[in-house]
Amino acid sequence: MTRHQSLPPDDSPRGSSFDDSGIAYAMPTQPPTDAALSRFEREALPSLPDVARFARSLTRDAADADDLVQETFLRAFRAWHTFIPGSDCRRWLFTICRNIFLRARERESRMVNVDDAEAESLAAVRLHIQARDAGLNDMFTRLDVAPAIERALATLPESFREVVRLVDVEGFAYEEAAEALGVPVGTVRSRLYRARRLLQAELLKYAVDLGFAASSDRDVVPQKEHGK
Amino acid sequence: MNDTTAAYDCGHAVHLLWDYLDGRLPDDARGRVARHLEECVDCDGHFKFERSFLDAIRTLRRDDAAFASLRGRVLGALRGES
Repeated sequence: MTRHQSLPPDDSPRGSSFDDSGIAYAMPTQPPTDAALSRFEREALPSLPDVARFARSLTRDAADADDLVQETFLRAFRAWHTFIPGSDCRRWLFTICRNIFLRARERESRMVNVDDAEAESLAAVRLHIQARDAGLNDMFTRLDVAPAIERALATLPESFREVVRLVDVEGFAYEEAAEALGVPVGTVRSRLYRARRLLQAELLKYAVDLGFAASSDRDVVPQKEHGK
Repeated sequence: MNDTTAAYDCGHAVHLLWDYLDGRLPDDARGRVARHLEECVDCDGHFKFERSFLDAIRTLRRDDAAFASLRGRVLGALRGES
């Protein structure tokens, strides 16, 4: 996209601007005209199949992709007066499409943060019960732990791996990690808890594969009792 | 009147597991979780297990040599800029 093009507004406050792609946009100051619609149909709508394929690749869901395409063209049309004739309309539409998708995904991640975090705490406890029942209450001290964790980390999606690296390995506060990753603190928290649970599941599987779980009772460190 | 200093029950304590271990709870909540752990063998075991997990992850930080090649790449890029 060239510097002189503008992105259309979404749900930002009126009069504000953003630059997801390093480009500021101007708020529309006039309603679209019939002539503008004719030009939009001629110049923008032929790109719809391309935008639709792109939307499908983003959402991986046909219905969500269709919604995304519709929203893309609606916003593009509202901002059509800012489009510079002769510039690359298809690229402009792709940028709008991607921005809408990313913003929607960010909103969804914020909405599920709290529930996710609580569910992950419960899941972690369930995983400990599995480990304890398999005689692996002390698996983090019995394994050759650093290589095992590195291997388990490599199986995680990038967004989970990076938050474990920053918070659990490098000792970043949640707020510092959020700033580094450009995501809300709640997202760091939910990703971290999910990542820890996935890591533990991988490590448990690894310990079982190594035969630790099949050890005889005398090889297993007895669980320490408290208050009894 | 509710006792706002009493130990939490198991469910409440477990929900706060990671916040507690990461030191993100305010003093009153941290105290109520700690009191629960003094009274509950099962939850105490869960929290100890998770703490040992976090300790294990921190051992990766010692492996700075693994970043030697990355450091070289970054340095090369920085020198190219100057």
